[in-house]
Amino acid sequence: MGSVERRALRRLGRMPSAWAGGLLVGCFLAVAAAAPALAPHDPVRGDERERLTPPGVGGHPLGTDALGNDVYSRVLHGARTSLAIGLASVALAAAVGIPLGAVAGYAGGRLDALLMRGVDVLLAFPGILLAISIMSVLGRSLGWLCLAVGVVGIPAFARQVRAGVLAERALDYVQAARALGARWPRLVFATILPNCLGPIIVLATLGLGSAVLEAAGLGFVGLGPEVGTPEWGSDISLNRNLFQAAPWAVVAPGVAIAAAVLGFNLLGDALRDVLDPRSS
Amino acid sequence: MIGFVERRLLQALLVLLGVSVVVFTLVRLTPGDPARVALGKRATETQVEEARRRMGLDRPLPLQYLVFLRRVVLEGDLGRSYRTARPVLSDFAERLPATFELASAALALALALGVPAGVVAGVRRGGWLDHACQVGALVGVSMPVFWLGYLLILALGGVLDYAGRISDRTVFAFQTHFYLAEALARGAWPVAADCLRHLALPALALSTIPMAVVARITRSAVAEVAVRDFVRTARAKGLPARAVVLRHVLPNALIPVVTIAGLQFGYLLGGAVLTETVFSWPGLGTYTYDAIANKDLPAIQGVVLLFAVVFVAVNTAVDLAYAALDPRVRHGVR
Amino acid sequence: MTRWGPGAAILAALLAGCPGGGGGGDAPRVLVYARGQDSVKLDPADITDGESAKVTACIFDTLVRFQSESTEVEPSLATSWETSEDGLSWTFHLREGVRFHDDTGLDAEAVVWSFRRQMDPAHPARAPEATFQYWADMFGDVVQVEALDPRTVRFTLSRPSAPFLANLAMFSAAVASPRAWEVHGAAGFATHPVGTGPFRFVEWRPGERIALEGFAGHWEGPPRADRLVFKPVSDNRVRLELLRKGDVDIMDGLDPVDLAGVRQDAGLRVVEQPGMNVAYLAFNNQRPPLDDPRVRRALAHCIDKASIVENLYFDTAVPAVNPMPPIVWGHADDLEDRRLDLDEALRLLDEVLPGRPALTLDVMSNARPYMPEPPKLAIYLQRQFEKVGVRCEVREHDWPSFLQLTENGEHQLCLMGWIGDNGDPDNFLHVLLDASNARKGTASNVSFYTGEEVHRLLDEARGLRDERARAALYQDAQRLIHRDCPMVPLVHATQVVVVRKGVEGLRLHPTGQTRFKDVYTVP
Repeated sequence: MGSVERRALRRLGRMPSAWAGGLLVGCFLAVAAAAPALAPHDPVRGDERERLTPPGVGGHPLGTDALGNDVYSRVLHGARTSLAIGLASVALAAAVGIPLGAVAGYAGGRLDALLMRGVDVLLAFPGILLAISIMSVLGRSLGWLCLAVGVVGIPAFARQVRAGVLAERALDYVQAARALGARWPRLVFATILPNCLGPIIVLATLGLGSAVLEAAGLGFVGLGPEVGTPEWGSDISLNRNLFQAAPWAVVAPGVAIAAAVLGFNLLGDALRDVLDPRSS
Repeated sequence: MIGFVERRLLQALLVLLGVSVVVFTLVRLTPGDPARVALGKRATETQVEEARRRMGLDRPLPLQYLVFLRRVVLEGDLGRSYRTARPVLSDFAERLPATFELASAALALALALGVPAGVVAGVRRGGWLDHACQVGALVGVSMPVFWLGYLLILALGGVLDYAGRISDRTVFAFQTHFYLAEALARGAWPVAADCLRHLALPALALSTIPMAVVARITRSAVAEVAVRDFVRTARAKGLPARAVVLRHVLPNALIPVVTIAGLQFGYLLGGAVLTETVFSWPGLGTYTYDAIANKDLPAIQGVVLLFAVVFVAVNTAVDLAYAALDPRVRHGVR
Repeated sequence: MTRWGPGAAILAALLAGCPGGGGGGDAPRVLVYARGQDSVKLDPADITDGESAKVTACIFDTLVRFQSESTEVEPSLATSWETSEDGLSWTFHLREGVRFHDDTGLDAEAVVWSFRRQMDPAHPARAPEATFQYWADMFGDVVQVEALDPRTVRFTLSRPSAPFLANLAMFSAAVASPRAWEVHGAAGFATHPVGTGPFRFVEWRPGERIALEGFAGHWEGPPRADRLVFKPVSDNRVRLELLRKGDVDIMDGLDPVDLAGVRQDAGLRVVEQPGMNVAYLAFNNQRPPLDDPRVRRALAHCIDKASIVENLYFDTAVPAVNPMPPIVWGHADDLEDRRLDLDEALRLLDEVLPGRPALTLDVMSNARPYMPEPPKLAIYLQRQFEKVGVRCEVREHDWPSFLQLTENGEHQLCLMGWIGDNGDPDNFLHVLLDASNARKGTASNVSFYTGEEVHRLLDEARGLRDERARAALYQDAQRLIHRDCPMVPLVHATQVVVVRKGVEGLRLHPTGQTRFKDVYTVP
């Protein structure tokens, strides 16, 4: 570990928001990883005769929903779904956005203009409307959901990386590498990109948060994963009629979404202060 | 050599062209025969054939795209909604004003509360209000907006009205679909008050994220301006703190805030889909939601196209306004 | 005061919370009905959904109509009628002095025009995209409609049809003003309906409200409300809150889970009526392994209808034994239902399907009057089938996609339902289970059941006019259907509407079409 990284970590360690964010994200990851072990009940095989049990009764810490499923277990398993969507969609966004931005930034000129106009097209769809229109064509499924949320995330990566590459391109070490005869793919991906890693990590962290939020929104309008899959947004949608009869079934998944997203946002902001001081 | 303005407009045009390609592709990716879907199961073969010809589905794809483009651009024809059987564009004409009033109210609320909070936080960095603002802003952007809507109904539904734009017992012959504006213009104060009471809750729910963003941007802009030389000079001259902030800091800090506010308007349009659904606000958001539930593809695609056009237009306008305010932008490399 | 006028006035109104209708003692008597969805169109002949029919039934009259609480037929625009010996010719005598809302008079030509535009594909008063689905479904036997004189109309049928008179009471058989077509044109007609009914159309703000006003010139006298507003509010909870606050007077689509709370609320009143509907699980009888009756019976044995009624409908339904509800005449009351019996299901399945294939269950995403929460019911069935080792994937679809998929027979199992149109057993059994309705692409028999004997019985009953003879045939058909188990009737949902205390005169009709003419509020 270089001294720069060590200094960054030490700075991070002094930030309360980093601790708070790290804690929330840590909980989220741990819950997602260990949901089957942590959950006291099967999230889907409840008994309808136990419906609407209040929290704390009959071994249901957060009560049950209208189908008798344990809300606590569903929230835990929902973390899995959310994490899966978050990771897959951010990976997709990064896998497409990073090379796109890197090539555009390095090549410049017409190619840059062409690629960036393409990115502008994606950016021209406000909010989650792009994801909505993709999902309404493809139909509800976990895979398509990852794809739809991922596509929405591409422009952020492309723009960030392009800006980074543009800034690095003129620096001495890059010129030196080029003088030594490095070809462009190597120059871009092996020489320049590692130096733009900070902002990319920040973006990925924040991206996980917005992916969780967007997926929940899609689930809410009925464009989530397959029916019955524990997913926070779909659960709010499925249980919204219980707001008075069984508020816990609506409040719990909402709190989970807010906590997870808040965690990623806190951590992302703290990371940005440390890794990407220019933009903070 | 073309100027900045022309270049920026050309860019916007290209982006819109790209948007139309994406939307067209989405239309054609949809499984099923659009002609049959549009007509329903009882349609005869000849009716379907006729509709296919009318919709140009019997021609090669690139040609279909050109036809689609010509229809949209020249005739403003976005197709006919499967669900309402009316031209999508006339549906928009009825629904957009409601969304526009809601988004405007939300933006106004976001600025009215976000800017002062940001100013105070930026001037007194590290104070309790600063911390509260930062936490509030972070929590604000982390909450699912539809869920917040339910919480608001639970908390304030007894005091404020919701579900619709106006009480259904109010008998008032509106000439337009801009209720609040029309009621004010015609001096029908009780009707305007009725509109406002219905507007408050959904606008508040929709405004949280822009409010958080505005507060955050204002804070950092104020903090940045506050340490500049001219502010120090003003302070050194003995101007009271309040006057320094109002006369020197704020005007200079507002440029980025205005930019962000413009960009947030686009976000508000997207966010309206979820918020309107929760509050049964009869704008384009609920229209989109109904379109999704009924797989009304022409309507969905029309909405996407419309929002994209508005979004691009707003962004372009913001860029141009920014350039007018700050000449460096016109010449510098981005 | 001049300077602060608007601001002060708005503030005062905001604080006072007055409804802003202008106030005064002569305020119009407004009745607000909140429902889940908006209407689709208002051309009564070209609609298929209940939300559109609810409104057109207020604006239009039909030649004959159902009595206010049953499907018995009584005079309306026609005061009397007779039929020929062979049952092929029906003659109706029109009421004198009836006027349309546009102040033209009702005559035989208007009646003929209203039916011919549905019947004749080349009729000028027909929008290109209009399909008149109900005509095809219900009036396919009509070959001629003609005016014998200004007060007399004759229908000629290709074969005797027992349900014909009841069909004429349905919303699609409404009599519309031909003049309105001339004035408004094709597009306008769908959104500016003009009839002879108790309410006149005022405005339609899509997604927001449809406003009607009482028609003083109605032949029965003016309705008791001055203004009737239909307000779409998609969220069930929000709708209930509006009712509680007094913003609306009547709501339908109550979530069963809220029923208990509503009953305890002194400010509200629940109006109920045994629904003329059925919710069922359809097996696609043409796709293995569901082509084997033993597999279908085994799956039927996995279902606990009592638990469905109690836990998913919160007792706002009754378990169904037959594909038609007991309130329809000809119902086979004596049939004993298959019980929940997982052992029997296992035994049957082990016999036929030792290796259990995975199945799919298709379901609509939105609530229907007979099924408040289709996905939840699907999840319940999925769980039950899993108990006997049958894995079942639930696939949710928007309503149009779902209809298309099931009508094409692309499903294995699906959740479906039917709301009776005219109270005739034919309208349930023939629609849902006759072989002639099992054609891929337009199937209403989504079980794709083609039982020969049932088909013969249903066809025979259609041609008879004696109700008792018909009832016997329908009962035989129900026995055969029960034996073959082409579908599992699950429940008949109770119609539930909630009104504010003080709303009087509301009676629910089995078809779901309420007569709002008699509804009024007392302060």
